[in-house]
Amino acid sequence: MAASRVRVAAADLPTRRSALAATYSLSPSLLKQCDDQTVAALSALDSAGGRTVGNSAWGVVACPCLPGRQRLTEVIAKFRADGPWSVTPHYIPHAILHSMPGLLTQALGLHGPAAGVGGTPGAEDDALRTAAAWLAGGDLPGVWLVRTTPDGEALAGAVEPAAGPGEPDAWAAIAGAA
Amino acid sequence: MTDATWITGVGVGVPHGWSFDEVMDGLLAGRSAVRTVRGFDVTDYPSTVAAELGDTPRPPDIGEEFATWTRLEQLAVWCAATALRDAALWERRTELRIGLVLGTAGEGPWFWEEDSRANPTGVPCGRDRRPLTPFVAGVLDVSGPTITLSTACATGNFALSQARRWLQLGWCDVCLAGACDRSVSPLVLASFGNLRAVSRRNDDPVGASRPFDRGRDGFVLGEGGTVFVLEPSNAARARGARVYGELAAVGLTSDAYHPVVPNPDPAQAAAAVRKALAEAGVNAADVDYVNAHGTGTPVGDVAEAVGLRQVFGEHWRRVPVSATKSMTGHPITAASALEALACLGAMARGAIPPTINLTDPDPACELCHVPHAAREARVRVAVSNSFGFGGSNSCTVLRAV
Repeated sequence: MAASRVRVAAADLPTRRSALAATYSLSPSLLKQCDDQTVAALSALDSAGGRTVGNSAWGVVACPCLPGRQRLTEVIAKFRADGPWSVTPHYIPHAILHSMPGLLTQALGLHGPAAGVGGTPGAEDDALRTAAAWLAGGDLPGVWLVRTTPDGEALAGAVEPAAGPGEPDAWAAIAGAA
Repeated sequence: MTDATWITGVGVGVPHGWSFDEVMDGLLAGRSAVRTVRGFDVTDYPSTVAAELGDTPRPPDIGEEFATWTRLEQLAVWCAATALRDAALWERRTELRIGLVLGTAGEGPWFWEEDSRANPTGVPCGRDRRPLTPFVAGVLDVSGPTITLSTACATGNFALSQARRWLQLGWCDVCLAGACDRSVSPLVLASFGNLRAVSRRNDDPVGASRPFDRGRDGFVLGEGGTVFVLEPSNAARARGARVYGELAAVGLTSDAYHPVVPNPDPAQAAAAVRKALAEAGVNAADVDYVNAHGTGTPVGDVAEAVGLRQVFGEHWRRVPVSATKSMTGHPITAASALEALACLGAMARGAIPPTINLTDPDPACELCHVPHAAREARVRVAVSNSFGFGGSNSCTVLRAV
């Protein structure tokens, strides 16, 4: 098993985007558009040996927490001010639940199945269950399991989630085994 | 040998209707659900047409609190509850370990946009909502495992795949699986419009969704939900359940190519179809009907047609293919679940729903199309393709029982 845990400061995101685009031969504009949590996810995969571990038949289960939230705040504000033609075409491809696993397959050249799972606080078990079903069912030889979560609440005036992201025991065990 | 997985219940809410029969009546009649959007003012939108879903009816046995739930919650509860009732399992739902695999595009963004519309001066995205799938499981009082997942347009097939595995692994006795989406919203319509992914044939709503036609200019947004009841065949047989069909296999792959554009080389899409056929133990010659992903985008339709010709070899000229999105629009994450229903309906009714608006077939999309009107056919094995943003490819094989 390969595992890694990374923490990416908001101030480091632009540098990370450029570095990861170069490392994985991805378009810089692709990394520029993708959600902050996707940058963190790709950083974690890179740190876990994403370029050397596994093979192209592997799959991805990605479990972001409230992806695209900051971005949608900006989109809504612009929509309110400037109307429908101002809405970015990049939000749906890059900032919702399916976006992270898609980008990770592209970066790592994976052709196994890839799914975004959960998407809300406390949904980590969903990701574990999905990956376990694929492995136990013999669907693929290996899977990258990625969980990301923002630290605290980034939106001024927003309400904290009723149930925090938490740290389920299974995740702690995975981190401890690394 | 692993027990086969049977589909014994269906719950559906789409613009064509709120039951299996209503939806199949509409599809087999070749009726389009696409109209000019009425739910909000689309005067200044790039695309102004969609297949919009009306208000969700309250299911039997669900209380008045239903009226206070969000539209997405109402739809998901309707589909799941009516599926259980259709399977004659509603009264037994607390005795069994019933799992729930529910696909939806991104409930967070959907809720945040709803909130922003309700409170146009407040902080956008400022409030969290209860997660959808645990909420639905709680309302239904089912106790098996649950997950929420999204693979964009391929989501429904992924949900069916997970549910089938859970049953095979013995993680639950019965599993609800499907997807729901309320995509026709101001931001989604504008975003897809500015992406130039959706049709701008605004003066001809019924003719706007035209998969495989030379005049296609993008998909038409749709919405709705479909949830199935899956159970092991032995258990279903023992209780004398009505059976819609067998979920014989689901093949899943990734393009690893682009977040939006499908790979023009359909190798991975074709691999998903081949995987599904192989796992189902079905030869290309055995397939009686293909429900294509067929969205009506210039690149995607060609890639799918090329992939199908590769997979079916010499048989492609006789295997009927139709794209029901020509009538339903594209309900995004809910698409493939609805299209699995269309396959089951073709088996039940002995007729294949058509691709409407196919007046000038694109030679690059040459297939054995079923244009304009339904075709009578004995359908024993049906294949349903769905390919999503992010490069997710999926193919479901359904078999008559």
